[in-house]
Amino acid sequence: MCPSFSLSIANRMSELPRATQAAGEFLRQQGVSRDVIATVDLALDELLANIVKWGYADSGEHRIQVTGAIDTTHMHMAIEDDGRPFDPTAAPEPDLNAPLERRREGGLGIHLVRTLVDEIHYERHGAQNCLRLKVALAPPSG
Amino acid sequence: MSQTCQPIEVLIVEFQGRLDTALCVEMEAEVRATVTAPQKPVVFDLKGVDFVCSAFLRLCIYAYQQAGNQGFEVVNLNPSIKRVFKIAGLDMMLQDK
Repeated sequence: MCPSFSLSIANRMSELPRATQAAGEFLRQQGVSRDVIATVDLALDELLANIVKWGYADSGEHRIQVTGAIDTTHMHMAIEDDGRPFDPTAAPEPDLNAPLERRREGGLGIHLVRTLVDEIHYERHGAQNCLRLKVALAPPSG
Repeated sequence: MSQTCQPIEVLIVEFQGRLDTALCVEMEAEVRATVTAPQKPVVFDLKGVDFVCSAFLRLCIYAYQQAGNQGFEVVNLNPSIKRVFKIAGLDMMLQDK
């Protein structure tokens, strides 16, 4: 059985570090390289922030489930939430060629995630958004 | 011939630690207020920083646009943070481009 971790967080920005810390600690225990840890750290922070910021029309508490597992070649991560349907893989790319004087602030988070991770897939199952990521492992640290 | 150098006033904002989304949300109002219409060059010093997210990049874009002709620069980035800036197409802000 592949090593794995799982936790749920509430839809508050203050909860994000709990998820990123859990993922980082899991990956360090598995001897994963710092580059992979940094990629997962950033991807998780960005994707969870989007869910918290944009995912809910009400002010109530919702739970976001984060799971991760590692095999011989990849870190696999899944994020599930019951927010509004949102497919980050379909979001338009920011215009990186626009002069900085006219650059818009938005869109960078998804762009960073799509650039850094190796695979990202979105599905909607009933009332749940489900996002799956794969990050290729570098040789273990040590 | 002798020359006299005039000192230039620069607004240097030093950041520390992990600039993740949760922290950036907390500090956003203060940072924006600090760099709005600065009337002088602005520098973001990331010497003590080990993580940035897109929320911080958005603050950098705002600071750059507010500084205008005065100039804006981000300095002392570690390699992984420099990579994030380059992926985001924000190389022009970096001291070491």
